[in-house]
Amino acid sequence: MITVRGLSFEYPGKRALDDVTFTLGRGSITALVGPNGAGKTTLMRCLCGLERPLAGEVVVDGIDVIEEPRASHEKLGYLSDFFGLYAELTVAQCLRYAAAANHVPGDAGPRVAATAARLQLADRLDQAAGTLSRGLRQRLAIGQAIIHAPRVLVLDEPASGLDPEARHALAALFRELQADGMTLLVSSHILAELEEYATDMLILRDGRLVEFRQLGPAHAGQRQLVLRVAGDPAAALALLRARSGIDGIEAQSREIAFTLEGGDEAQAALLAALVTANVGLVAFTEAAPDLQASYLRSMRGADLVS
Amino acid sequence: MNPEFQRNLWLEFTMQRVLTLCGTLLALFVLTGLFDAHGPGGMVPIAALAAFVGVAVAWGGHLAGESVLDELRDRTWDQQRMSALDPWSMTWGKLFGATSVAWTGGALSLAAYLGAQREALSLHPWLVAAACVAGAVFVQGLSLLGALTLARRSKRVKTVFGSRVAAALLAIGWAYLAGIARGEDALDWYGIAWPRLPFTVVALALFAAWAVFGAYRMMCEELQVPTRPWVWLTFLLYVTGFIGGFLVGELADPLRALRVLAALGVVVCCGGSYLAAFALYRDPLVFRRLVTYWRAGAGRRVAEEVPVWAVSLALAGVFAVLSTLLALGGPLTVTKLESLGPATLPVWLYALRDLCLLVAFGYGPRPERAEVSTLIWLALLYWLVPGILKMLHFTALAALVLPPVIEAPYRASLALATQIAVCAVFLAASYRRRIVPPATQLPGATL
Repeated sequence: MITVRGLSFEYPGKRALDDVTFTLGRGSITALVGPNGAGKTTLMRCLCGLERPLAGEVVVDGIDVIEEPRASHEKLGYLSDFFGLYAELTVAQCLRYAAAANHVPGDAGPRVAATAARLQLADRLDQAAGTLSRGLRQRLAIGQAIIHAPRVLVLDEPASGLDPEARHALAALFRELQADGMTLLVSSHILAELEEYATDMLILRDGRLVEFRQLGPAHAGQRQLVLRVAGDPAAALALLRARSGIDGIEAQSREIAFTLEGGDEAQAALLAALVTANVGLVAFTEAAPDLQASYLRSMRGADLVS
Repeated sequence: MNPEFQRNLWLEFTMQRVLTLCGTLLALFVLTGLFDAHGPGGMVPIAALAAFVGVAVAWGGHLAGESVLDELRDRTWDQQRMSALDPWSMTWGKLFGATSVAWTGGALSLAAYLGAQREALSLHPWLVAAACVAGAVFVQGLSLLGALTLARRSKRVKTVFGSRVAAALLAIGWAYLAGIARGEDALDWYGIAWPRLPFTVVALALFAAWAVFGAYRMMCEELQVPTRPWVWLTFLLYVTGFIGGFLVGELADPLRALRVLAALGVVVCCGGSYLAAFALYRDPLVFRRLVTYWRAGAGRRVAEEVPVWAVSLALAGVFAVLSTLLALGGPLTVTKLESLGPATLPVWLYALRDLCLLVAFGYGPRPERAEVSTLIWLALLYWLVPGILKMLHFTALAALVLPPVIEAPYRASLALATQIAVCAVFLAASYRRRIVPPATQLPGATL
C-alpha cells in the first residue's frame, strides 16, 4: 500500500532521513517509533506530500506522492501532532468541509452522520468545534482525516494528552479502521499504547531505518507462545528444539518464548508433551506482544552495529 | 460549490455582519445626501467612493491576507495542504470567500455612487466603477500573495499588524492611481494617444489579473504542486513592455526604442530579482537539491527547483548583453535610459554581487538575519567605505569598491567581477560548512 524507496531528506547541515526504504502492506497498523529527533515526523510529512525530499520515491496506492501530491491526498488522511480546528464552525460544518475538500462524491450528509456516529460525536454535530474538550477535539480531527475513507491514515502522536479511557477508545477505532481495510501508520512514544493495535513496527534512529518487522506471528497459522519452568530450562529447551513446527526460540532465565506452527490441536499436543516430559512447567500461555522489550532490543542491536 | 469558498462564507458571511455593514453604509449615504446643499449628486458619489476604498479595498485587502495567516495561527494550514483541492479552487475560494462581506459593502457603495449620478447615460461613472472593482481585486490579490509569501517564509505568524499596514498602504496607492485616472488629458503609450480613464481601467484590470495569478502560483508552491518560472519571466517582460510604452512613445527610431527597452529590461529584471530574493522564502537547500537533480539527470526537476530570482537575474544578464550590443549602433544621447548602453553590464553585475552576498549570509550561522546583514554590507559597500576612501583622497581605491558604471563601464565590470569571485568563495565556504551534512554523500540513485 505504501512503498518508500531511497528516501532522503535534509535540513541545513543535518540528514533527517537517510536512504529509508520499506513497504507497508494493505490493512496493517505500523507503529513508527524512535527517539526524539529520529525523523519520525519528517518521514510522515514526506509520506503525505507535505515536504519535498532531497531524493527517493514515495508511492501510495499506486500514486507517486512527490509527483502528484494533490491526487495522492484523496488516498491519504493525516493527523498532525499539533493540529488545529476551525473553532467557529460546528462539528457538522467541519466534517462537511473535510468531505467536500477531499472530493467525497454526492451528498456529504450521510458520510458526515456516519463519521460522527463512528467517533461518538453524533450528539455534538451542532456544537462549535472551539467549545469541545481535548478528547472530543481529537476525535473530530480524526474524523476530518478519515471522512473521505482514505486508503492510508497517518497519525502523528494521536493519543498525546488523552486520558486512558479515550486512548482505549482510540485503539478500538484504529482496529475498526484496520478491519475496514485501511492501512495505518502511527507514531507514539507510549509503546504500551501501540501494543494494543500495532501489527508492525518501524524503528527510526538518526534518520536511518533501524528495523522494520512484523509483530507477533508471521501469519495466521502461527502463534506466539511463552512458557516458564520451575528449575533448569535445559530439558524444556531440548524438547522444543526436537519438535517440528517450533521456531524462533528465545530463552531468558527460566522463561522461553517461541512460535508454534498450527492451531489449538498443535498447542494442546505440545502442552501434553511438556507435562509428560516433566520439565517443571509452571506457565504455558500465548504471549502478548511486548513492544517495549522489542524496541529496546532493536535499539541495543543498532548500538552494537554502530 | 467550491468547498473553500463555502467554508469562508460560513465563517465570514453572517447575517449580523452583513446587516451591520449595510445599515451603516446606507445611513452614511442618506445622511450625506440630506445634509449636502447640492443634493444627492454632490457629496454622495464622493462618500460612496471613499466607502468603497475603505471597505472593499482596505478592509477587503486585510481580509484576503488574513484568510491565509489565520490558517497558520490556528494550525489548520496543514489540513488545507492535505486536502485534495486544487490550487486554483483554494485561491479563488479564499480570495472571494474571505472578502464576501467586504464585497457586499463595496457593491452597495458602487450602487450608491452610480445611483447618485446626475447624467444617467454617461460612460464615465461606469468606467470609474470598473476601475474601483479592478483596483480592489488588485489590492486583495496582492494581499493574498503577500500572505502566502509570509507562509512560505515562516509557519509561525503571530501578528495581524503587517497585513493591516500593507492593506492601508495599498489602499493609499490605489487612491492615488484613481486620482490620476480622473485627469482629462490623453496618455501617450507607444506613440498613441490613449484616453486616460479607459487606459487606467484596462491597465488596472490586467495588473489585478497578474496579482491573482501570482497568488495562484504561490498557492501552487505551498500545496507542493511543481511549477516552473515561466510565469515570473513573462510578468517581468510584461512590466518592461508596459513601462516601456511610456518611455519610447516619442521615439520614431526603432533602434533607439529597442535600446530603451533593453536597458529598461535590465532595470526591471534586476529590480524583480532583488524583490524576489529579499521577499520570498530562500530555501537554504535549494542548491543542494539542484545539484542532486542535475547529477541524477532530472532536468524537469531542476527547472521546477531553480529559484525565480536567479532566473530573472539571468534574464537581466541577457538584456544587459543586448543593451551593450545595441549601443554599438550609434551615439547614446536621446534619453537617460537609452544612454545607459554598456553601463547596463556593471548594473547587472552589481545585482549579481549583492544577491551572492544575500545567499551567502543565508548560509551563515544566523540565516534569519541574512536580509539585515546584507543591507548592512550593502550600506558599507555603496556608501560608507567609498565615502571614507574619497574623503582620504584614495579615489582609485574607492573606484574599486564602488566602480562608476557610466564613465568606465568595462573597467567597472572587471572590478565587479573580481568582487563577485570573492563573494563566490565566501558563499562556497559557507555552503560547505553549514549546508552539507558531515560525512554524507549526495543521494541521487533514485529520483
